[in-house]
Parts: sequence; C-alpha cells; structure tokens
Amino acid sequence: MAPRAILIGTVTVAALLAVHGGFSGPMRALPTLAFLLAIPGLAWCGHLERLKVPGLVAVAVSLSLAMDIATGCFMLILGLWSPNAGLWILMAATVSGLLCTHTGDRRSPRLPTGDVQFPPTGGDSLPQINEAAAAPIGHRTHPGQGATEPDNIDEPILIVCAVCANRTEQSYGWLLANPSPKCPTCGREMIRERDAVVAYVEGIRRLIAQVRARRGS
Amino acid sequence: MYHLKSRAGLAILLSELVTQSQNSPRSARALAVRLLRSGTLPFLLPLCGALAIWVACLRRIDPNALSDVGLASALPYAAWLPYALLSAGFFFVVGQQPRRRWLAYLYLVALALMLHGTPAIDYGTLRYPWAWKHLGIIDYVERHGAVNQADPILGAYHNWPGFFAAAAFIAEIAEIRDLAAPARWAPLAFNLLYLAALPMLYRSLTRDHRVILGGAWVFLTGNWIGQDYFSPQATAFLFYLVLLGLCLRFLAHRHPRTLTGGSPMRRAASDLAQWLVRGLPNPPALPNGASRAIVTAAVLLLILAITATHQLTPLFEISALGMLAAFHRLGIGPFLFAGVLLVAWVLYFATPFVAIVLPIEIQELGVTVSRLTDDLLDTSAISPGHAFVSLVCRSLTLAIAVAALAGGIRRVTLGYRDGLAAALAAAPLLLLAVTAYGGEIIFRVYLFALPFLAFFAAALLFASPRRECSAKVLAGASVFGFALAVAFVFANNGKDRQYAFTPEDIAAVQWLDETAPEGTLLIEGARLYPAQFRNYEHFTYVSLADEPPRSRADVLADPTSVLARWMDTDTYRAAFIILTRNQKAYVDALRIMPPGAFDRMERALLASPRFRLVHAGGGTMIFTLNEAVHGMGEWIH
Repeated sequence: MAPRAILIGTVTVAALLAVHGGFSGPMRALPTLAFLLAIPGLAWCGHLERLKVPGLVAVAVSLSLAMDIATGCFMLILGLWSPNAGLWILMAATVSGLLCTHTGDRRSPRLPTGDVQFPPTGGDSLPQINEAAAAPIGHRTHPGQGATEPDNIDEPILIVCAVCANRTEQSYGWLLANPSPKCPTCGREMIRERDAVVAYVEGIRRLIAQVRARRGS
Repeated sequence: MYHLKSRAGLAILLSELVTQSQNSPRSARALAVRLLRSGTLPFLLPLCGALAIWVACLRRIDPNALSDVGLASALPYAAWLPYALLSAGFFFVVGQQPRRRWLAYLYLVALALMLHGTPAIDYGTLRYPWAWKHLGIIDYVERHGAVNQADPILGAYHNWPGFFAAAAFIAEIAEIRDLAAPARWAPLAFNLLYLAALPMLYRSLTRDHRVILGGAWVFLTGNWIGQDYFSPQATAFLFYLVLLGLCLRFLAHRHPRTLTGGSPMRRAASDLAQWLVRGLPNPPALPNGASRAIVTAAVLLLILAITATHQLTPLFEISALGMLAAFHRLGIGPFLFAGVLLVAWVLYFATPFVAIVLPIEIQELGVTVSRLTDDLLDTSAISPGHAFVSLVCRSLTLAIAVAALAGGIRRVTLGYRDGLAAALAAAPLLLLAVTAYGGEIIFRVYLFALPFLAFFAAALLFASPRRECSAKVLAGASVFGFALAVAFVFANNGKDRQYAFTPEDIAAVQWLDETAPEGTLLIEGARLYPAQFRNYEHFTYVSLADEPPRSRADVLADPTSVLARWMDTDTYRAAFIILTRNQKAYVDALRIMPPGAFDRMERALLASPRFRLVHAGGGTMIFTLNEAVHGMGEWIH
C-alpha cells in the first residue's frame, strides 16, 4: 500500500476515534485538525504526481479547506447544521478520493507529460523505464537549464514519436525552425523535450548502478 | 512517476541506511565530514545563527509601550541582525548552490517564521480588531447553527459565510473553545502555505529555480498589507494561488502552434499569442481521462469555495482566468463557470445584502480611480511616527514595482516575452474600474499582483538560467532582500499600537460581551479594539470616531451631558461606553480628534456623578449611567 494511503487511513481512523471515543483536549483536537485541514484534499491528490512536497501540501490543504467550506455552507444553507454529519461527509469524500485516484492509477499510465503515451508498446522502446522503480529521478546538470534552453544552439536534442516511439536527434536551432516535427516512420507529430526523459533514464541507470555497487560492497 | 519516485527514493534511502548502519560508530562524525566536504555547512551557519539570535531577542512586549512606529520601537537592535544573516545566506545559497534547493526553502521558512512569528509570540494575543470580529461570526454560527443574511451589522459576512462555516465546523468537531489562541498563528500558517503554493505557480513561468526562490523571498517580504490574518480573504487568496497553479501546471494548453492556413487576422492572433509566451516552459498538461477530470473537479471546487468565502476575490479570480483564456493558455470553461457561479451567488444567496449595497455600488462604478488619491493618507495631517510608517509602506511597494519593471525589461532584452506573467500581474487592475471598494482596493490590487511582481523582481537578479551570478550581484541581492525584510517589519507591524491588545483589554471586552443583555447600546471611542467576538448581535454600536464631525464636536464639548442623553433612553435595555488605549492611539495617530480628546473624555466621565466605571482592565474602561446600575439587577457589579 502506498505511503499516502497509509497516512490518510491512519489520520482518518485517529480522527474517528478522537471524536467518537470520548476524547477531549489535545487528544481530540490534534487528530481532528490534522484530518480536517489536510486529509480529504490529500486523498484526491493521487494524480498530481509531478508536484513536489510543498506544492502537494498547498494543494492538499487548500482542497481540504475547500471541502470544509463546501460542507459547512451546505449544512448552513439547508438549515441542517450538524458538525458530526459534516465529519462523516468528509470521511466519505476521503474514501472516495482514495478509491478514485487508486483506480485511476491502474487505468492511466503515470507519465510526465499529458499528450505523450510513452512508451506506447509496454516499454519495448525504452525498457529502462521498467527498471526505474529502483531509483529516483535524475538531476539536471544545472537547475535552470531546461531542455528548451540549452547552452549551445547546435546541441543535439532527442525527439521521440508519441505513437511509434521512433527516436531521432535534431539540433535546437533546427527545432526552433520546425516547432512541430513529423515522424519519418508514421507521420505523426514528434515531441520535443524528450531529452529530459533521456536524462531522467540515464540518471536512473546511474543511480541503479550506484545502489548495486553499494549493495555489492 | 509518483510511484517511481517514491519507490526509488525508498530504495536509495534503505541502501543509505544499510551503509550507514554498517558504519554506525562513525556515522555522526561521517555526517559532519560529509557536510563539510559537500560545502553545505558554511551555508547552514547563517541560518542557524539567525535563528539563535532571533530566539534570544524574543520577549513579551506590552502593546502599551509601543510608539507610533509599532513593533520596531520595542525591538532590540540585535533583532535586525537575523534578517541580514538570512538574506545574505539565502541569496548566496540560491546563487552558489542552485542544486540545494531544500536549503533555500529552509531559509524561506525561517524568514516567514521571523516575520510572522515575532508578533504572535511577543504580544501573545490575536492582532487586528477585524480578526476578533471574525471570531464573533464564528461564535454566532456555533450558537445558532445558521447565518442571518439580513444582519444589519455584519451582513457581508453572513452572505459570504464559507470561511466562518468551515471554522465553526472545525472548532466544534475539534472542541476548540477559544479560537483566538490558534488564530494568532494564522499569518504564519497562511504565509507558509503561500510559500508552498508559489513555486507551483512559478514553475509554469520559468524553469530557473533561482527566480522561483527569489520570487518567494520578494513575495514574503512584500506581502505587508496585512490581509493574511485569520480571515476569509487570506483563505481565498490561498485558493487563488493554488487555483492558478493547478490551471497552469495541469490544465493549460501547450504552446499555441503556428497557423499555416486561416485568415490573416487569425494568423496574426496566433503569431501574437506565440510571441507573448516565448520563453515560457511548455506546460506538462494531464491526459484526458480520470486524472484530468479529478484536477478539473478540484479547480471547480476551489472556484466554488472562493465564491462562497469572499466578496472581492472572485472578481480577481475571474479576471485572471479571463486572461488565461485570452492567452489560449486555458479553456474558457473555468472562466465561464466562475462568472456564472458569482452571478448566481450574488443574485440568489446574497440577495438580502446585495439589495442594499448594489444601488450604491452601481452609483460608484468607475469613481474608484478618482477616489484613490482622496482615500490615501495625507501624511502631513497624521503623527510623525505614523507618517514614517506610511512612507515605508509606499517605498516598499514602489521598490518592488520598480524592481519588477526593471526585471521585466531585462527579461525582454534577453529574448523572453513573459506576456502571461505580465497579464496576470495587470489583471487585478481591472478591479479599479469595476468596484466601489474605496481607497482600500489599491491594496487588494497590489496583493493579487504581488506574486507576479515578485517573479519579475527576482528576474532582475537572476535574469537568465544561462548567466551565472557574480559575487557583486549576490551582494546586491542580499542588501535588497535585507532592506525588504526590514521595511516589512515597519510596514506590517507599524500600526501595532492600534492593532495589538493586552490580555487585560480582551478580558474587559469579554466581560462586557458576556454580561450585557440583548438590546444593549454600546458607545465606542472607535472600532479599534477586540470588538464583537461574543454575542455581537446583542448590541447596537455607535462609534464616536465615525460620527459626523458636528456630532463629534458636541460630544467633545460636553461629553457627560451628551453621552448621558444618548444613553438615557428606553429604546435599549442597557447602555455602556467603552474607551480603550487602542482607540486613543488610533484617533491620535490619524488626527481624527484633537490629541488627548479621549483622555479628557475619560477624566470627565470618571469625575461625573452621573457615570460609573463598571469595569477596567489593561487600557480599557467601561462606563455606564449611575442610575442605570441600580435597575440592572444582579448581572452588574
């Protein structure tokens, strides 16, 4: 089970126990606050995998507060003010979020960009991806040096076809002049910035090698 | 990727632990050696030093001892040193150690802690009279389980009850009886959340992490206007940042493509759209399907929460979403949803309030711009301390605006266009024309433009990822960052003589709120005290500072006779006068009344046989009519 699901489950159960277990003071306030201020939103954040921890915290807290507001307003407007019922509504929203994002995880591939299904044929084109589960993402050599801003305009950049995974190298200058290159094999659009993926895969390979070397030693 | 990263990170962590456990006797020493070898330690020292000095300078400050420049007048000289250390350390980390972003984030968290933790710790009470009023609405919701949309006193809050409903709901579930205690940490909590949300937004504008981090520093120090307290607007602003971040990072269209066909006008529009976003990173939009549907639902939920929480923020949000749609960065759907929702809320839920306010709003449409200069403080007519604080506020705002302008020009000369960021910075200006919010709107416009102004200001220091920072630039950035932090302390805490309260002041008001019967007349020197936080609907309020000039003159000429006449009526079950130190500071600083007017009034009331002092605490005195005391029964001493 993912750490996120464990965290959500633990805090949810703790909040439930705090409210219905007759606790008071900090024993009640801490778990319920942790639940109401972060957990319902976090449960729906399963698809925001690109976010770093601070961004994830901001989104989780904001969505949780938004759900608190929606629940509170719903009860006020309908004249059905009942905080305990509101808590149950939020718990149901939390469980729904976990289930939705979990089933979503299985249905859609987790990819860095939206309009590229990569690799399209179950990892045939870049099998390194399948091994990547054992290593973290690689760093770029310079934090501001993105794929679209190389130091050298003639630096080759790898571009990949989103459909047939055909790969070719072009210079940055050529790509500036041809912003929508077509795949020579299938004629579909090829995607720039794939050098980031290659850098990522290379980083993964290096880290796997490091881990194996350490384990071996 | 989430799973890939987390599993991979776990594997690395485990292997590190295994390696370290094998060398456990030497692990601490090895860690120190690693820190030294990696060069991290020198960059951690300023942070540790700043935190140590800050903690040493913390002390309980009596708001009664503050001068007209606020918190700064009570701080020791050493209390400024942490800001210098933080600024120098931060900008050198950002410039020299670009890969150690976690270190830069530690500096930013420490900065937020010092800027917003200092008043919370030093005063020990909730600042701002408005924050106490918000507690009053939450108290109302908790007692009644409903809102009163026709409320004549705080009607706006009852018609936009989102924040209060959520706070009452949370307080009841968590059984928090005294919300004032956690609420005083709200500015720190909100700024940390803004700090967490900003990089998400900035990453859709640049890939240069130095600009992202520098922008966060400028934002923290530039957010001086005090809208980050325990309030609906602070919550709505967080939603606004997260909403833009989600839209730009996950729902945005990729760069517009060059049109080869179509009319010349369309091609020209397409070329312009391309030109304006030149240099922007291409957004990693989510694919259609479950992921995109969930993020879209999250965006709609945030729009709904903003609409239910605050009157003004939806207008800024609609303006920004409109800009994104105009730039073809986002579909028109969120813009339309926000617009329709706002109209529905105003015309359906908030009708009781809007029916009263809308005619005035329509009358004043478009006159805000002409009133801006009228409503800004005339520094020649206020106390010297207050004038200095006002000057610092304006200088800080101007410095950030000028730095942003210069940064924007520098980026343009380097080939970036940043049209989107510029448009989002300019979007709040539309509100100047379409609201009748008085002079205060300019501060709100500044707040909503600030994230993007901060981005451009940081771009002045780190214009291009391809350019290394020289030591001179970093030194200049450090001085700039330090100046902003110092100016923030004066600007944000400069009016604390009016806005900070002692526990005794709060206890006196609480006594009154809990003791007075329903239908009580309360005459206040001004609304600058911890007002209306319990049973607020039991009172009819008359603020002397807000009375017409002639009425004020009558009261000042003969306070005992005039006030006795006002209070001696059968319309109210009881009547009180409340005079506090904060009210005196307020009317003296803004020269609303002659200096010392409330002191003289207080002496007259104390000397008059017609009035009795029924409660006093801190700088607060509560009077009532002497003959009324006998008829009030056992509830009054």
